[in-house]
Amino acid sequence: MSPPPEQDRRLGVVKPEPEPMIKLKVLDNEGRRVFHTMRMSDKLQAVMDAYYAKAPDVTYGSGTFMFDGSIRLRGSETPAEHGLQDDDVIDSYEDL
Amino acid sequence: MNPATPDLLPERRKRRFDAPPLPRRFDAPQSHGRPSQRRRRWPFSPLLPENFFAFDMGNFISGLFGGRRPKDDGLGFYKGWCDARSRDLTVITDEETGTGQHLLGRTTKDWSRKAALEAVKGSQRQKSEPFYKKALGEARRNDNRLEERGIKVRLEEERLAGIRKPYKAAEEDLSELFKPLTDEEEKEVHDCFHARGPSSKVLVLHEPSNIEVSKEKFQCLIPGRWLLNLYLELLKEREKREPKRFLKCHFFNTFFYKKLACGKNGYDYKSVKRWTTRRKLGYDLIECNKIFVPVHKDVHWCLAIINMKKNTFQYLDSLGGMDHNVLNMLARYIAEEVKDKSNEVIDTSSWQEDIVDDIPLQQNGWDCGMFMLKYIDFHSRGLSLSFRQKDMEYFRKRTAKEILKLRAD
Repeated sequence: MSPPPEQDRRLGVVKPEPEPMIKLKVLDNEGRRVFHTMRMSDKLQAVMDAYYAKAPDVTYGSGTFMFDGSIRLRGSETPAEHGLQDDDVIDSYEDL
Repeated sequence: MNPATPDLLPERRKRRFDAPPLPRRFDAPQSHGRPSQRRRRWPFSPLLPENFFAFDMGNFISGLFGGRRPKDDGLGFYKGWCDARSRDLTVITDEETGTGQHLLGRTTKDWSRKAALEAVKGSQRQKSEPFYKKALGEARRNDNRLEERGIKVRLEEERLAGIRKPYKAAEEDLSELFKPLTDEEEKEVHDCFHARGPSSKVLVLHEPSNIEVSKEKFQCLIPGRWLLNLYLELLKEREKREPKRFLKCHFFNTFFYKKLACGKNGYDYKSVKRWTTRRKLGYDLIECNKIFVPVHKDVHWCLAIINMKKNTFQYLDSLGGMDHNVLNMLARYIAEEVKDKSNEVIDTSSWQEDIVDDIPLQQNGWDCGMFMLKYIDFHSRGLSLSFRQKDMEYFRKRTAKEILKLRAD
């Protein structure tokens, strides 16, 4: 017995509409600016990867990403967890 | 002239210069004058050496040619020689002339000479000492300014004692600061420092700031920036927990100064503008009593303090250094910050740099981070910096305990 086709259609209707995209900016002490546009529920690792791609002299994984000066961001977290908004700036430091 | 005797009496003028000397006549005087007359004519002759004139002559010629001989050679020798002659004969012993044969006589003469020399020396010393002593004594008696100095010193000491009293009152609180760890805490800290297992194992995680401390970070001798930042967060929490016991302070983390001053374009206020929003902190910097800014200098940690109540800047370096550049940057920053956040204009150029001389200094090369944390800790309590290098071992353990418990006391 196959499920009725109406139900499938209804599921597709229930699907949430796509989240708004936010643009994040990464700044480091060398003066590099890296912009990345992502969804609120995406992993922050995407921003970090974009930064490492733009900064070849920074060893992958050695950077530290801070939001608002005191909150450390981790790749496994999402912008929603820290309340990041559009046009927010993330500071990047090379870890010592 | 008798021509018959030309050989016997030749004419003197015609004698050849190489002719043999004439035989002396026996009846003629053998020399000029008598011995007594001779002495009268040359009164110094027995005293002078035969080559007496050679002294100055030789010196004169060599002096003309700029010879290497010491200029004083002839004259000096002559003077020495005259001195030796004129010295008292008793002083010149047989030992000096090298002709002494009798041991007994020689030793007695030695003794007499030594005694004479010592007597001369002793009398000279005894004479010279009382002179300046007497002069000094007189100067002292005459100079009553010394007495005034003494009175001034006593007054100053009394004044200082009055100043020290409040400090001592504050020091009563130190018993809590140096409270020894309990055995359990000691064991816990020891386990963390020496436990086996992977070094990347996470020991504690501070939720609000998302700082995690792994064993690796925990074990390093110089507290890394994460440990410092975590401890600063803990200090802030402590202050919020007990606002009455601690001064209202703001603790910037270790990234602040780097972001503010060490960017590509030097000083940049915009990059840290968002760090201190009221929405985020819940207060404005202008309300704070003190603002602490850790300054990282390559491998060394220093601390800058902005005292908002006294309007002063302070720079504490546990190696005793000073950097006016840092304070100038902070003066610019705080002026812009207050203008931006509170819309007030303050003139930081008139603020004083409060230079403290007797801050505790580190005696080794790795305690700077710990010293910085303790400067912050003591200042946030409003205490004077009354700790020393020897306290660092305790402070290390205590800080480790506080980080493990995520609660600063």
